Amino acid sequence: MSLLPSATLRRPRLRPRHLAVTSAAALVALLSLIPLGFIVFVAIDSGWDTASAMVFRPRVGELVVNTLALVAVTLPVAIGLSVGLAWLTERTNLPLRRTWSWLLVAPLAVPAFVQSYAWNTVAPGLYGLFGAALVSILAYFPFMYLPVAAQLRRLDPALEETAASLGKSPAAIFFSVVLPQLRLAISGGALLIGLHLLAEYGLYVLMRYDTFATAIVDQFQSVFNGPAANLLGGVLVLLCFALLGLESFVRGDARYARVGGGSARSTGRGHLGRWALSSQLALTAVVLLSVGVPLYTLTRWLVLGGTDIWKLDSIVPALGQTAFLALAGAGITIVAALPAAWLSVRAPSRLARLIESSHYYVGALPGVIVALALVTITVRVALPLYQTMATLLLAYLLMFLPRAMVGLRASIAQAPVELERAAQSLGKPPLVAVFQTTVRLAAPGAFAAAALVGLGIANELTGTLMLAPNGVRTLATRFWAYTAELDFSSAAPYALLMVLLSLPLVLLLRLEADRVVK
Amino acid sequence: MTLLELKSVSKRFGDHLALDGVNLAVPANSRTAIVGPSGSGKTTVLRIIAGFETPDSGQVLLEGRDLTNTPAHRRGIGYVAQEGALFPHLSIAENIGFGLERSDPTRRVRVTELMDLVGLPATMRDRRPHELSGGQQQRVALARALARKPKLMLLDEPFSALDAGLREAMREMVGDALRAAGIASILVTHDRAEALGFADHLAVMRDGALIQAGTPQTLYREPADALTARFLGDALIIDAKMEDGRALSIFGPIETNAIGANGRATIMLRTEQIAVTALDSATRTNGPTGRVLSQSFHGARCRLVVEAMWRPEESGDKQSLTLETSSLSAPEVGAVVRLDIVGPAHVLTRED
Repeated sequence: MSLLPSATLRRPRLRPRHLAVTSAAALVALLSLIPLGFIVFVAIDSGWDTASAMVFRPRVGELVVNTLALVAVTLPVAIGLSVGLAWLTERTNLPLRRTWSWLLVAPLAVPAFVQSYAWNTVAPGLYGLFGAALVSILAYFPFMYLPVAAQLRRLDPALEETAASLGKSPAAIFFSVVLPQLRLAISGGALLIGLHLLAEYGLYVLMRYDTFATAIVDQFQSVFNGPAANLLGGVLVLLCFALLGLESFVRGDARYARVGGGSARSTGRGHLGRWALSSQLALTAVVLLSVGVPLYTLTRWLVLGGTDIWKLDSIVPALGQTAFLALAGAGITIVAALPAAWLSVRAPSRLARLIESSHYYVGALPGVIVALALVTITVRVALPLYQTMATLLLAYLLMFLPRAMVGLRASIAQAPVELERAAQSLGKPPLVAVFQTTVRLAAPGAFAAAALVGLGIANELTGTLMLAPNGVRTLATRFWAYTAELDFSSAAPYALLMVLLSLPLVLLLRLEADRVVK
Repeated sequence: MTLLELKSVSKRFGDHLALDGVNLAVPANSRTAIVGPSGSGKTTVLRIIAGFETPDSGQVLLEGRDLTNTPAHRRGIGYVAQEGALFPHLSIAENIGFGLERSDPTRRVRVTELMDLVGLPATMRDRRPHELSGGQQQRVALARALARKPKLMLLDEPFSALDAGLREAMREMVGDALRAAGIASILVTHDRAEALGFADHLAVMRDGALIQAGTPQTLYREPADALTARFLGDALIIDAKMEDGRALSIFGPIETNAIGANGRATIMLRTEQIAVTALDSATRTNGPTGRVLSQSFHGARCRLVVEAMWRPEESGDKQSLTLETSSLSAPEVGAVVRLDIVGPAHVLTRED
């Protein structure tokens, strides 16, 4: 008698565990579809004639060109810079490399619009595409540096050694063996940076560079709740889909895990030799530009402002409210992203891919689109929720889902499914097995993802401006109000606090990157 | 003819002296196995030969040419890592062709030949490494290293991740493939059976030093010290008094390989040098005897713990020994047995 009747060989489409997780992920996906649904609703509501008249006009073409130019200039430079820096700190005998790798993550503590504010002060003549791209690179390159450095440390040295024994020079090994292994880290980092470029508002306002995000906010401020902003948002969503598609294409079916266990020998470090000095100079330049300039500007304004700018009766509540929103928002966002992250690694399917995409796309919408959607829905459908903490936290959840997804996905990919199966064979029910193996192994990565989300919330500006309940004023909104009045000095304490508040998160991120390797 | 030579190679990792003046000569067309427990420095030797590590002092010579400061990619030495180290982003054919020039017109044919040589079906060309079993991955790794026709192939415990049955088959396949290609090889392993089955030249390492090198037969029969003796197989190590080249021990006087020696000594006998025969009360013997203390069945062989004695009424010398015998004629527990020594004992240490 056959032990495996042919009927059981054909797998059911969804196993029960997958069904539960898929349902949870689908629920979050539906939630994240609210802004898109809102835009579709607006498009239908305003009719084809109005919509096409507003979309097919030179102004929109200009914005598309501007936005694409920004992405096309920023991403290649950010990739080259991050890979180069990661190579220097991870794979060479560079003196002070530990310190340097800390300093290279430090720009994450400076919000993009504070970076922009600093450059406005130092170089008032810097604006347009060049200024926007420069400040974007300085503000966002750590998003790429961190995963690339981590992946470089994880690489099995036997691969490079084998390539050398096959007659490949160090340069050939880098391009034919190392770089392909970095593909996942690079494409993930590039997606994250790309999404920021599409969504950032404050940075480009200060750099006087019109992107879709700034145009949408302008529209919104001139015509509250008008269809023009929403339709521009629709085009932006299409751009975001294009970016997602590109990332998916580049990532391909690259396998994350190494083949076999491999001996976890630490990789040798190259000798810089005559490049030692120029490497140190390059690192100094990057750190001076990305951390030095904001520090210098802040110090300057704080010294000029003296004690007058420290109005504690407004600073202290802003600080407390920001911290609360960051912690609560990070917690719910991670919980919400978990099911889809798990599905995309463990049970990839067309449905899982669709769910994942809907998690990602929402982060590319500028805060203002998410906020506008939530404003309209609460006003029309659930008035008691209008301008409440719950709505604000939901907005954060939607905006920062991609950050949570990228981090969770990578950390779950680290936990082999075999452990889960072993736990099940030891009598644990499926969900318990997941919690005791994968969740525990992925927990450090999840905390890192939470840190990234909290960092984003602490510095979130646009959505907070629109959705915050009466009396809630965060550090970011206070800072922006002063900057808008060109009172750079009064804005300085808030900028300083945002930086300080972000420091522990940066610390956490960097320590996490170390732990992953050990 | 010597293909590869290490001259007093030393290597230090921090405070740890990994290699202490290692000298080693590898003959052309030979199959050398470097054996030793983990941490003995055998892998470091291999990595220095490959060029992945630079020795602190000493020289590496290939066909008389000094390679010590030549980078790995210019040495022309093949290398197969412990678990194959296949490039996960490349197909099987791309992995095997990795070391061949892209523009080489014979590339495709070569890859097919190599797959055939290591026994991989041609249908696997476009598979990815993670779709292959451990044994298949090792076949790919070997084919990839063979592609460049190196003079010397380094094998870093390439069979240790495979299960026992497969291991032997792979060892034979690798040995045949290398012999067919006329490539000398160095295998690093901690498994003595693997080393003895593969090599025609054996080097034993311990604590960063090369203890002994030679043919497997020589090292097995005449090991340099007790640890080496035990590492290479079951050994009986016995105190004895030498009298003109004969050893007096619990076995009585027996022949040794130290002609004319005198004084106190430690001698070694391989378990198979002692034939165990049950004695009935009628038979008498002048030779060494023993009593069976315990017996355990191992299929073809039976393992006995025997208390050996030589004229107990005179010297009172007794020693428990673990011996083997065919399980067809295994004596019962408590039986008195005759112990016949076949061949000379090997003198390990001697005090004159």
